[in-house]
Amino acid sequence: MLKTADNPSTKSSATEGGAKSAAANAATTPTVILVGADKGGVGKTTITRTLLDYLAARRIAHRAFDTEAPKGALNRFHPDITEVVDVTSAADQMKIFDTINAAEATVIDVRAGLLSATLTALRDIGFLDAARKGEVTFAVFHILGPSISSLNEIADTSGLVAGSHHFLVKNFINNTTFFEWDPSTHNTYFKKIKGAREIAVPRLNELSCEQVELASLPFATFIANKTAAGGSAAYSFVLRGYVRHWLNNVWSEYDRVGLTDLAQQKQKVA
Amino acid sequence: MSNTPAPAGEVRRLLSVIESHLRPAAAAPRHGYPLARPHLPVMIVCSPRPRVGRTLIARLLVEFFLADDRRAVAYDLNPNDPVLSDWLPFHAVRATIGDTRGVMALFDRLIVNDGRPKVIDLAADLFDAFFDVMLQIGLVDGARARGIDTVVLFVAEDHPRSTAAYRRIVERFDQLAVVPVHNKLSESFKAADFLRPSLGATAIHIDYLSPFLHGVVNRPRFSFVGFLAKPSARPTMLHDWIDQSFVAFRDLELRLLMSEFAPLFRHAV
Repeated sequence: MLKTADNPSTKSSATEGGAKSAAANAATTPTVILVGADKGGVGKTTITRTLLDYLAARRIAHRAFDTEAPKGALNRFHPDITEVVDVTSAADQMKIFDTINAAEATVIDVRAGLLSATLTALRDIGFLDAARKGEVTFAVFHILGPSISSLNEIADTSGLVAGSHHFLVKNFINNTTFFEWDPSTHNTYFKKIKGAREIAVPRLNELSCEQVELASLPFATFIANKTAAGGSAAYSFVLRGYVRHWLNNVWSEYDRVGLTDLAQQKQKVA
Repeated sequence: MSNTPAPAGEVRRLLSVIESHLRPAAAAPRHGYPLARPHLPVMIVCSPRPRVGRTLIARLLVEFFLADDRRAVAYDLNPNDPVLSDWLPFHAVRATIGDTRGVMALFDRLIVNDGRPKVIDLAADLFDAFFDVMLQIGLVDGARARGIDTVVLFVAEDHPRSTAAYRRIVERFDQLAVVPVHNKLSESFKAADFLRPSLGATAIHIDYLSPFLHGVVNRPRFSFVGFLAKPSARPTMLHDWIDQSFVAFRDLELRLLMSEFAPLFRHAV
């Protein structure tokens, strides 16, 4: 079924507001979602934006950290919930990881080239151990580019992500073709990673993509034809329709891998 | 379903909507209540196969609205053979869905409730692409939210491709009125009564016209409204044919309107 902007009863549609519901999360373990890649330009921030819209639509309270210090990239689209941090500095690491709590999911958009370094830092501070013990729900969205270097990245990071929910995201948003991945090479790499799940993010119409970029808005706000301040906007019905259709497809992928359940995982009783 | 009578205000609104459909916009309301803004139609005249008389039906439809003092706009979606403006130079606009800007130029205009009915003459080779776009952007729901009714006039044939395309549309768009048009002017016409109209609509029948008169109406710049306006001692076959076609369109509009308000009537009685 196509989910539409005008159907408020469609709970999972790409249009609902981002009301936070702390009560709904009261009995959950803290959730941390890391979005990253060692390669640049593969769409990390775009995927993070879809995740933030998804969490908002599912009424899962959340906050975000943008590690493109000092200017930031994600904070342009979600300024109210995003803090720009330097993930290589101990002070900012404390800002993120010492404040993790069960009331809201934490989403971290890791800047290009820092995924391995960030995972290493998380191992060093004992965060990955905590994830293995189930004290924290930890998900890694590893955004893959079309080149073979992305496959090498998978091999490099696979040792660090044991105990996490590992998602390998093929991002087709710009009509990327994963041309360098012949099936045997692909299988060689993917077999090394136990439990990783693949997510495919479909292509988004170029003009629609460009318009949302120019508007500097969350996708859901653009679809609802609103300005950042909540007023009425005058975006093209066609472009909003394309974005809605695309975002619904992306969210279907997140539903397929059980992201809502993951973010709302019940606290394990000792 | 509740049997509670509809509030009097709702019935008045219903009456005013129906009346606004039955009379030219300029006439004064007879019942004394202000006219509600009527639902505007977007009519898509289409077939998955060429040479079924689609453009003639689109012309008739545009002139039906013009005859009713409704300033219709026709979108000629035939990039390889844009002939609609040959007959409707002041009312037809060429359109394309070949790129995003073309899609925006067309659909962003269709979605505006500006009081002007819209008619689309959709080329057979763009049939699937058009409905794909329509589905992706959520046109039917978006239009309805703006008081615009999307209606498909499907020029039917007893042909497997036609049948399959019809079923595909009905299945993909459960909230879309899809109306089979039985066009006896088409060489390929055979009664395609197996196509079941959706959402309370009934099939439209366009009657046979002699080859001579068919040639007359296909002359460049021929206008149905202009022909009706010319003084004539007595009605000709062509007058009757145009009248019957216009009555069929009026009947369709009323049936769609009545089906929309049928639940309200049930409550009111």
